[in-house]
Amino acid sequence: MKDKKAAYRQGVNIFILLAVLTIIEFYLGIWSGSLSLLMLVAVAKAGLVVYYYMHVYRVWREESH
Amino acid sequence: MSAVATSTTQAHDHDHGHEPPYIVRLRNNRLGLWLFCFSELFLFGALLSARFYLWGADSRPELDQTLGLITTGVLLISSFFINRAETAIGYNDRKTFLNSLMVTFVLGLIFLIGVVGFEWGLFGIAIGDHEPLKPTDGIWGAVFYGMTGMHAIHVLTGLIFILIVWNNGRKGHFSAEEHWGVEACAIYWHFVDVVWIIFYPALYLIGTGIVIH
Repeated sequence: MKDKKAAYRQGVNIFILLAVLTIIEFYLGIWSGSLSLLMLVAVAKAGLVVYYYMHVYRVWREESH
Repeated sequence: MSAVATSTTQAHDHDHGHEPPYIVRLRNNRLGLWLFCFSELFLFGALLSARFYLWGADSRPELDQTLGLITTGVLLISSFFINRAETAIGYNDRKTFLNSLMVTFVLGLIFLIGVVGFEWGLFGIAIGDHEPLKPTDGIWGAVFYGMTGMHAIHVLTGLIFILIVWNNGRKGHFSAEEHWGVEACAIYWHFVDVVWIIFYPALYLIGTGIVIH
């Protein structure tokens, strides 16, 4: 089990990444509105949430909380 | 009588004796919840397909960009706080757990008010320099209200889930070792966030905005 500070910090780091990607996404939408670029950013954001916040890997690993 | 009582007690013990260990139940619960989330993807996927089929990849209705960015930001921050709540209960930090859960609830409520109250125009306040879309605005209104409405219902159920978990937590339920209820609530809330992460560019950013009113 990770130490408490590291666990909290991981949550903060992922949030910062998500915020930066959202700002990039916003300006991409304003300037180009490109489907492929915007979906690429959206999928990257969704991937971060699914892996780090939803802990999808726990489904196939016998892991406690 | 006493034989019946003994038999009942034995049956009770027998049931407990065969209850799977917590780690096994946890694994099954996780699989069940993920299968549920997967099944929900078909629903939201169908709505997303309808958006691209009816609006095309190069057009969308003109919506207020500031409001869209604010509601998206609020939902992202709420995801951060529910993750913080889950981490906190993992270390028996009950105060941070309860506070973070309540912040998540408030942010979720702000998101709901932003979309349903302002974007739908229920408060009668015009956002930006155009009137809000109406459900009767042909393909534009139908897709917009279908996507945001279905998502809003999920946000509402998530908010009820958060309140139940918060109330149970306040009563002393959950521990660092056993807190499936908190984990399930967090996974569900993040799922609602993931759906919005995909819906946000589909509704607000992809293509060129067309003024409907």
